[in-house]
Amino acid sequence: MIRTLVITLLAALFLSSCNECNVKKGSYTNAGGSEQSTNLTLADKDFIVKHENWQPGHYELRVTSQINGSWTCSENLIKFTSSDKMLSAELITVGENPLGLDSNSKAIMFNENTGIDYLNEQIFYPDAPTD
Amino acid sequence: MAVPALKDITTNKLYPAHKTTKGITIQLNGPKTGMPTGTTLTALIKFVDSCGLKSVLITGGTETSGHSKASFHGINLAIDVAGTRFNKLTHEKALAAAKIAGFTHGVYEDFRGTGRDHWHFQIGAGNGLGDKQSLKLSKLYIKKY
Repeated sequence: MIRTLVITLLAALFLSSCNECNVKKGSYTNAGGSEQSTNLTLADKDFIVKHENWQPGHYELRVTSQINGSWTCSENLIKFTSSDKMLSAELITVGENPLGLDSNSKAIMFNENTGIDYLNEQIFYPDAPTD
Repeated sequence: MAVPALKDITTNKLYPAHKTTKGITIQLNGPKTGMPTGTTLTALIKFVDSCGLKSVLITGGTETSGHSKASFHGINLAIDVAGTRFNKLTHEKALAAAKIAGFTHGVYEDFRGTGRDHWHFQIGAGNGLGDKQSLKLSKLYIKKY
């Protein structure tokens, strides 16, 4: 009886530590409207961040950079691991905003000290489905 | 010359907003967009006060990260104004307001009507903007992608 209780308790503890992920796979992009753009793609386990910047009026000469790695998620917290960095982000509710989004819309916001300046405090909004 | 005062009217810290003494709202599009200072802030205030809108969405300012190496944003000499999807401005009105404000060069980057469209205005030539993009010309330089 005691053994069964202990096993049940341990199982409950294990399950409670395996929190579900609230973040959806897909493509996310920052707000835009400047001479830079960053896109975040979340696949099953892997992520890609693509950043591009350009001189005003010269998008065709843009400079691009990319970060690849894996990601994990527990509830609203996201951890990104690339070859030399670990980054953190959070799924947020945007609230009242000037972008025309519903205030209940979700977005991914990186922490302020990621070590990659263009990602610090960057907010990524889900891209609209194309189909 | 003193920079005109602004009133902080931010209701959501993710999207800072300020009101000019003329009652026009300068609305930033996120926490990474840096509010200009000094001469460029004065120019921004003159721009929003003279463009004819009650609220203007600003998508670029003094932020130093993410831009091209010689960007005028990083040296506090440029602004980005969200395009026609957000700011219901004509190019003629935007050009007139930018001239009044004291900006000297600019371009409208047209990404086919998406949220990436914007007017870029800066003080001084450089970083890709020269005679073709001078605001002394009768028409604003528009780059379609």
